[in-house]
Amino acid sequence: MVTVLIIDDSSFQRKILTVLLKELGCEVIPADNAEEGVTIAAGKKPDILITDLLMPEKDGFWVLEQIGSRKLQIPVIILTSDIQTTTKERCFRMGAGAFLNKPVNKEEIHTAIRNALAGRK
Amino acid sequence: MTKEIDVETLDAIRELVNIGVGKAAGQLNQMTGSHIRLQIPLVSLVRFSEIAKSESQLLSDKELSAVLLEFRGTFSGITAVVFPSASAASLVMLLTGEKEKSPELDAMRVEALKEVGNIIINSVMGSIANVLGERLTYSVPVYNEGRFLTMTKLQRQDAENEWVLLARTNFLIELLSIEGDILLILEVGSLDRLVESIRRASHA
Amino acid sequence: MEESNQAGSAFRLYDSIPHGLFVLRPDFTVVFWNACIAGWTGIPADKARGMNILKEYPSLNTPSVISRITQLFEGGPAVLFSQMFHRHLIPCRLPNGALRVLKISCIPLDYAGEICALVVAEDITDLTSQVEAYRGMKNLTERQLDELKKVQESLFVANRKLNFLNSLIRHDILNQLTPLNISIDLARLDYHDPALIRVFDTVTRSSRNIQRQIEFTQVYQITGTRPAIWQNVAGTFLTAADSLNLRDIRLKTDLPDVEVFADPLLERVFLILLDNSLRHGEKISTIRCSGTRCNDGFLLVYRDDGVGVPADAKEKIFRREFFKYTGFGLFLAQEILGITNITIRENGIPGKGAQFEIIVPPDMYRLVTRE
Repeated sequence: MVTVLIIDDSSFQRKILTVLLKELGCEVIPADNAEEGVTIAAGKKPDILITDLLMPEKDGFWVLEQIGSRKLQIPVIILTSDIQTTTKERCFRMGAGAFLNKPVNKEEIHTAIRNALAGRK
Repeated sequence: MTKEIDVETLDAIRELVNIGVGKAAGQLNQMTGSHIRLQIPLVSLVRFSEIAKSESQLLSDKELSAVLLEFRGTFSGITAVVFPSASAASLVMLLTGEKEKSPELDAMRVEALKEVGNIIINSVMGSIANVLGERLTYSVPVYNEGRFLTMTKLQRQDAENEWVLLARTNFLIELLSIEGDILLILEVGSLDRLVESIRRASHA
Repeated sequence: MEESNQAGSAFRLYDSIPHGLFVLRPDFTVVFWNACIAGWTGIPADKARGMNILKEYPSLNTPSVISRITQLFEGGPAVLFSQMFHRHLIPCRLPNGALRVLKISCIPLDYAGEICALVVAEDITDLTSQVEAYRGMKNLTERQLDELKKVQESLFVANRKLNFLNSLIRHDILNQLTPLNISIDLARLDYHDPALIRVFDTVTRSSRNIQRQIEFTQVYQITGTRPAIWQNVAGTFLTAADSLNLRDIRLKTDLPDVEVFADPLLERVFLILLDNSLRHGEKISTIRCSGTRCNDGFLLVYRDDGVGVPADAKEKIFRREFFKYTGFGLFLAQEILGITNITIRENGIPGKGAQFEIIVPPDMYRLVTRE
């Protein structure tokens, strides 16, 4: 079973995403802030990490930077409300594997996870 | 009648506004080439009659520029995007790349501001309607200047008892921060239906 | 054909509207094209029907435009396109060949079971030209104001330097007068020859004149250096009167609640008039100050019952070198009032008293209405 860590400060968003991922047969580990998320990532080494960008205190860019600098080798999917190309480019430069916009549907998430896992192999 | 809403529902509304504002920023970015840095909107719920006493100094007594849109459906009311008139001109000029010593909201810039407000409102309402799976109908958007209470109390008989969802956002464009408010003024009874719709979407 | 007939009859009213109007399907094909937009684009209605607007006008075929109109087709609100962000979204030419500036609104429209877009294009070319012309003028005015400010600042600096220099020179001159006066006073003690006494008196008089002229330049220097302000006439007059010892002289005022726009030294003007009455009026018992509106603006009348001013001196008294004394005071009063175009003249009857008439132009006075 694919383990997916989701980092988002919105409980509403975490709920929706959890429902979608469980429908895809994934095991979901939620985190409501970036620091907690990175700690879990370092400890539990999930297969995929899905993170929001805009969060209080530490944001999604910080998550990307931590995953990279700690060499955790976890594919990161960005899920954000910010649809600007400049934001997308910055995320990819920082090592994101995929960039999705909210609200996301099941197909988009499924494709992104499949591609991320394929890339990992 | 719900007197308060729980933290989770407020969080959901904030997320819906967030999605809408993000989409709006993306469209403005595509249109103008200016990168817009977003901040997490602060959302609160107040009675319309209490709005002047709310934390929003923006609404209390300043001259404002606003784009307003009426909506009808499972929940009904008015959505408004509000800027202080003084910074509305600066916002437009930042987006159009104009450089003028004393920014002024002339007829052309008013039209541009209407479009910016239209983009924001449409994105926020689109986010709410799509995520909650609701079908809403809308009036043609209007532009108004003046004090907030005068603009929004027009011809609404039960205005005092209406609930207002107030989302404070900041648009950071090229080191300049322009504060704007997005408000959903909900007709009597609509807040309950909105909350119900959010609960359904959360558990769907 | 049948569909185009249906659309034509459903939207026939739109043909008479003087704005460009067309209806789009969710696939961006044209259902209806009104007479106005046909005229502006040169594309007749029958050719436009079924046309894909995105292929015809590449300026529409951008992600931001498409996504916003698509949202409308999916049940979203009306969409507005302003000329500042989309100047020529649909290129339409004027008779002179220039492109029209359009304001475009897309409004949801239920038609034939689907949500279509009613697109309204309003020609705002003239309004745009006017606004741009106004902006040009405003920018030019601002630049000119900036230049004026720079000139004003440099004049201010030059004036400050001159004033400083004047102050130094005044100070040096006054310092020279002190030993001079002391020497003359000491000489008076030792020498009593009448011819010498006359010489001493002449020197003393000249020394006093020099001192008065120095004092005059000190006051004159600040005349006009501070901006004019609105001042209550009655209040200013009474303040000036309070600072003098009027002895048994009665003061009568008959002034409405009026303010004049004058140099901040207006009080000095009243001081000069009152001082002159005390010094030169000889047998003054009453001083009157009154005011009333007149054809030239507002007339302020200062009157005493002293000996008055001789007929041949009425204009000369305002020249600083004239009359019994130095005449500086009235010259200064005239200069102070002149800063805001207020005039003063002497119009009394010799032997019956001095009468000074101060005429304030219409835009330099206002009657105060108190709530």
